[in-house]
Amino acid sequence: MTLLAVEDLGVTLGGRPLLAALSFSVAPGEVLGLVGESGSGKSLSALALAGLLPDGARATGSVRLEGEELIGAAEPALCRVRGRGIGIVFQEPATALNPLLTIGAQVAETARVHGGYSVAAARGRAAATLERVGLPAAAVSAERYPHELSGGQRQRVAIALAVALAPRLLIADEPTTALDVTTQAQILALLAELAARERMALILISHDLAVVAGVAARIAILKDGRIVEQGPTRAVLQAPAHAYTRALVRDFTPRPAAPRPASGAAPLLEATGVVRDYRGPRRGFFGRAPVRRALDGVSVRVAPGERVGLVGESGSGKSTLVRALLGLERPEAGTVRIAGASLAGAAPGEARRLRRLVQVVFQDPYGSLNPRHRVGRIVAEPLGLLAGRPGAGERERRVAAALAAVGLAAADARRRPHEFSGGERQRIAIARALVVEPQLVILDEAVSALDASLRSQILELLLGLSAARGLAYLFVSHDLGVVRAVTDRTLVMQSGRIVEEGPTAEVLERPRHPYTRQLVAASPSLERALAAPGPRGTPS
Amino acid sequence: MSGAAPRHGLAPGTAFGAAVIALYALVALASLTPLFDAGLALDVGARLAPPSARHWFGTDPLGRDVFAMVAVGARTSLAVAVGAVLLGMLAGTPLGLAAAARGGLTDELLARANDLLFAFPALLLAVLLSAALGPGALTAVIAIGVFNVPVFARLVRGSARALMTRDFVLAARIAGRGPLAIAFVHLLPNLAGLLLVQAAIQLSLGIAAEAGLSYVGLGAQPPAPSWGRMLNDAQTLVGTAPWLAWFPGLALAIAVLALGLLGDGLARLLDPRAAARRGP
Repeated sequence: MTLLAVEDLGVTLGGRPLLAALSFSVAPGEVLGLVGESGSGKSLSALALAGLLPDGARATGSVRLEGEELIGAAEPALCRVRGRGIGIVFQEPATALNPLLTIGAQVAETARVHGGYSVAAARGRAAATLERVGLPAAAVSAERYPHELSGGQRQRVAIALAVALAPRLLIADEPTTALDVTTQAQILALLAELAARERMALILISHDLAVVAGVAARIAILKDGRIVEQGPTRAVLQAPAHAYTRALVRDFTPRPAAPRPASGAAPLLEATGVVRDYRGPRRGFFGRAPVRRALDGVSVRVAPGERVGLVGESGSGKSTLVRALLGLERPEAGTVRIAGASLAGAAPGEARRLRRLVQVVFQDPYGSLNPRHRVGRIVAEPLGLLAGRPGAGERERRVAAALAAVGLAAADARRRPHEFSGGERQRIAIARALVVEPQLVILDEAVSALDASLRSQILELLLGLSAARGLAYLFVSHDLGVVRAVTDRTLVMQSGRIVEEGPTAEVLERPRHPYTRQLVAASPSLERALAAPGPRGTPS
Repeated sequence: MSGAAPRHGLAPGTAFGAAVIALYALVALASLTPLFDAGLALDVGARLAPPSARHWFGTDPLGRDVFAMVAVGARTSLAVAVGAVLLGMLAGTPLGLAAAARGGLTDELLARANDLLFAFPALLLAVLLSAALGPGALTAVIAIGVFNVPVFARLVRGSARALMTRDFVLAARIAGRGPLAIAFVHLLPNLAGLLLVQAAIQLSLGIAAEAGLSYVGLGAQPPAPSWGRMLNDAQTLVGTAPWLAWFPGLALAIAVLALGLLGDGLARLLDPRAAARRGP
């Protein structure tokens, strides 16, 4: 039996085709995964199914929900379908909720407006719905406001809004991308459970093959607005027929880094007992400011040429540690030494010498490059750290060499950041870090914002650079697969402390600390998803 | 600039504002030449003449040409307002940058000083300054300019703090750039647009404030013509010679309106979201 039948769906915007020849179907209780990289048209297809296309976009073909044709349907009919037939959950729960209404009121409003419930009945419906999504009134009052909830709880409220009227079809567009891995695992479990228990069809849209593989019974791979391959998840991923699917599967199965002997050399970077407190706003005029300890006696060592991973969820203190290591923040206690010398209180010349040894690449390639500068100027910025300030010719030569090392052309120095794609921008950021020939590069979620194919290219580049130059890395990431692929040793951070430390393979395969175990279990992994007895959401 | 296509080029309001301000500036510059000297000469025989081909805006009780007076008044108005904006920007921007960069006590002290200034009535300060320095155009510049300082300081502090958390500023610090270099290379170029918009808004407020001060006799002193004093002088004659109030009043209203439109238009033009709609 088919609930949703999509045939030859196409979308054009101003005559330009964005989606073409999309055909698939979903049965009640079935989970279909729609996987694609950015720009593949996966979000657009969600909007097309719900009749929410942006102005100027035109849909062709056929989308039938329980036999009712939606393409070309009048707006009142579509509105009825959107309210009762199709529910949608988007990526960012913070923007999906009204900050001025309590969560109970928001869910009740949906029930009242689209479901025709009376005020009192809507309130009852809201309470029942919040309970369905794992927010029972006993634990989380319906009188709370969105800002009083965690990210995962907010996403549960967004799901409650979508399923309040028991839609036949739920579309979840990157529902867990903004969440931590443990929260992500919980939300995915909730979605799969809702689909199975309420016989609701679920279309799960994601860039993350591992996430989809863990939940979806069937999968469709989207590339450049077309489905290149679809079928049962296991069959498609174990024996991909299309070259693109094969590449995608390869990109999501990072090969573990080959073990390397530990170096006995003196540490390049050594932090001991670092404590960093943040003060909240003062309570009242004479009140004391509450103190939150972001780093609680953290010690880190990186030897020359060593590749060290630092994993943990948001709020664990990873970013604060990075800033303390770079000397951007002064810790309350503890020391940070680079090549045996402390940056704090160093004379300007000495500080430059030490800074030269440690450079950084940030996560967001759009925020880390000044949009007003040309690439040459951006890459050349750290050259002031070199002793005896190099002249113009020398600067140009070094910039060209750094650009060449990351696979860009010397002529790119004359272009501006906006002319480059995300992956190329990240290469520019790496070139900026390399231009002073540092010995350690701190990579702060440096590949997290990139699509899988770009991510594997950048990882390959980083491994090559490390091998060729004996470069050491401190690789900060929430993605255990990536850490596994790059690092020799891993530190696990929770609530401002290092809770586990050891060779990467050991930490990730035989975790000892409960938090590490939880992290490893929650991390989506393609291997594990395919090895599991059977994905959830299989139509019975 | 037909104004028919708001998506490309200037919106009609912005174009109008820019054109009017350009015209005012031109007239103010022209008043530096002897062009209007004849009009400003006393001619008691032609006193209180209504607008005509000879005297476009009519004449005042001393027979001076009102058009010439309004033109020269534009110079006074613009000079005082521009001076006040420059004072506010040149003092406020470094203060705002310092507050953003240093935080802590510096930030707190500057914030409280700003609050103090905001709470203080502007007219009172002007009276105080006049008593100390004597009334005049320079006094007006200082009195108005002092109140522009916190406006620019707050604007710069807020935006600079947001910019300083951006990764490219962190990257610059790691690249060993000092605070001054970061301010000039990374912060100010990214703040220039905002400063420009605020300058247009403060300019319009400054023109209105200058008129207010000279209306109560605390601005430019006679014989230098100014719109505020012309309005004051016209007060007792509104019944018999209404043009004495019309033209300086209109000149003032149009200047304030034009600058407001220009400020709005610039803000829209520089809004990154608007830029995204227009394409790179």
